[in-house]
Amino acid sequence: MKVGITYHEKLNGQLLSKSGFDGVSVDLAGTGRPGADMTALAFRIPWKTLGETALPDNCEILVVDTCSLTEREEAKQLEEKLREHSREYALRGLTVCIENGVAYRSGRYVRGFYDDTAALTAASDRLNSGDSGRLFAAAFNIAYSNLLGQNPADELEALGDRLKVLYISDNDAMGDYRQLPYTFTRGRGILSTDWVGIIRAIVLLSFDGLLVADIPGTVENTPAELLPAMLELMRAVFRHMEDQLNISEAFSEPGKTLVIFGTGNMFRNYMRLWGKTAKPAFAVDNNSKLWGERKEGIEIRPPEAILEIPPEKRNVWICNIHFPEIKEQLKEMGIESRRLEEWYFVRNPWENT
Amino acid sequence: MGKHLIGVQTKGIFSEPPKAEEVALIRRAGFDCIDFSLDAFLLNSDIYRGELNDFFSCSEQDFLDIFRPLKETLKKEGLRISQMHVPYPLWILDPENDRTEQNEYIRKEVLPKSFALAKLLEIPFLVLHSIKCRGLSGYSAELRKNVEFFRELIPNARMADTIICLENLYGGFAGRLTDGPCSDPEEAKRYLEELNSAAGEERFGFCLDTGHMNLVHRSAREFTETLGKHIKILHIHDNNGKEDLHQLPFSFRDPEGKGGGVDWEEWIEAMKEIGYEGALSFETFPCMNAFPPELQEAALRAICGIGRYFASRLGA
Repeated sequence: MKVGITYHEKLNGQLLSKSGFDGVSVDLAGTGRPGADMTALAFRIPWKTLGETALPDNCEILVVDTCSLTEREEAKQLEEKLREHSREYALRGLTVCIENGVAYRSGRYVRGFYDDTAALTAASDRLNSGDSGRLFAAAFNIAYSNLLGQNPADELEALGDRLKVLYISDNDAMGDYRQLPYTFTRGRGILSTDWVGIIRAIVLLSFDGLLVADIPGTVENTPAELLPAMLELMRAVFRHMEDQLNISEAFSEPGKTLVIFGTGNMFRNYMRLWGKTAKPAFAVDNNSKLWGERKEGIEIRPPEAILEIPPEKRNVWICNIHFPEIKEQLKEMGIESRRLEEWYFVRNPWENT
Repeated sequence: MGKHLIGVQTKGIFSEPPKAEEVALIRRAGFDCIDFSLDAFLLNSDIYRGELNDFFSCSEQDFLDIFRPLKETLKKEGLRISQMHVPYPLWILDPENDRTEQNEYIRKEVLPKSFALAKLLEIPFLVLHSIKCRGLSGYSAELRKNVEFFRELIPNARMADTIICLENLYGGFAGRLTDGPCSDPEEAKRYLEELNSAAGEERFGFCLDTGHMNLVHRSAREFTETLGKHIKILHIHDNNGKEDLHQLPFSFRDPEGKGGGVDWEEWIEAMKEIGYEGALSFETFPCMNAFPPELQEAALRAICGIGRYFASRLGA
């Protein structure tokens, strides 16, 4: 997976590489263009100017912005234009992604023609049906989905491997603010966007495309001196997403012994999801009545059993809702541990109850 | 680098009782001081519902014993307490339910213990919310009630060697935000002058809350020009101009250029003009609820970075 940020003239290559971004997504509707010190990962073009605006030589992913496209006839014309250019796109090795879009009418955001997964899926399938192979795919913009009151997680999951570019930003579902994820809340911290569901969808899809921090609102609003701090926070958000995506590898660290703390529903879910690929050596539980028993084929032992493993070889994961207390308990025993954030992997955590 | 200490409120970070690793987290993120959220131990939502816990019911010694380890931990980590937020509301006028017992509990248990804790932890400023009752009893009655209420606390403040800071609050009526006590800087000035005159010394100051200021569409300059050196401490946070979101400064931008977040440039200039030298303390606990637990340190680092930026601008 690559991680980028929407290009803004306040950004530069040094700032991006320091924050750990691979490059930028460039809006061709804007006048600014990145310098040679920045890698252009994608170019986004308004549907109306497709075919009129010359594509940069370094373009590998072209995203078609479908905002304000609302009529079937307009969609037909766009798809005809895309078919016309498909040979050129194929020769250039381009991936062309149609992005979900909205329209702005009477002071609010309303549906566009390509506003949901069904429309994006149908369009990419139609366009790929001829000689195009897998030339056409989908880009998904969380901001628009949130503005339309959709469940972005459901939309993403349904896109499957058609999803190649994911634009990430936050809003209050009323205005297109393009700000940092997790910063739009209701009341005192209730998220305005379903980030848990979105991360879960990325994980379930094993998303391997381009993740773009589409936050020109935050970049514009932030004084230049503060941009490194804001970008570092944005990158930490992406790193958190990557950690969830790569969690299977974290369970199977070479040369380490995997131990799961907790033998309840979360343990059962763990075994269902990773039991075959990352089988724990044993599980531990504070409930002495369970010691010596087996669950899901795994032996349950007292927490002290972890001490039999040399510290450098321990890979201990807590699968229990009482994470802080157990983490503390293990810390007092001199044992480092990590937490399984189950909500990213199980759609309905209550399905086993 | 500016001369100001950078702080953050402990609500959303500290558990009950506060743990050493929570203090270490704040220090690791780069902060110099904390705004100790005593209000997290008796929530405002519970007070409004009339469902008070018994956290303040123990003896004063037992109460102080809970926080003695915190004093040591803070010292070890080199963190100071710039200010403390006392539980609120401090008094409720409720035409439908008799709140006498509850109001007396706050007056006789919560407030004295809050001041005793301020003395133990050597906290220079306490934030106390003014009483809101203008909707039911009128503006003049609210003013009288507040002056009478705060005058009674002068000996406590003197004993604890602390300054009581009033805060610009907002109110609510028919589902919309309205002005509240001290949201008008002229009104705040009247309170402070009358109360300090009654104390015969400076026992009352002002806590400028940037988010609340934005919600009632007041400018920072109105506050600084009117209150000047009365402004002792800050609650720094941002919102969309519609809801009290307590979010990161610079988060909010209205693409149409109307309303939106706090005008930080104007705020910096206004604070510079009065030569503000106090702590730059953030009241951004919803970030702790909003970001996943693994990202809390990154969020705190970003908040501290914003504080350092403000400090450099104010110190320039």
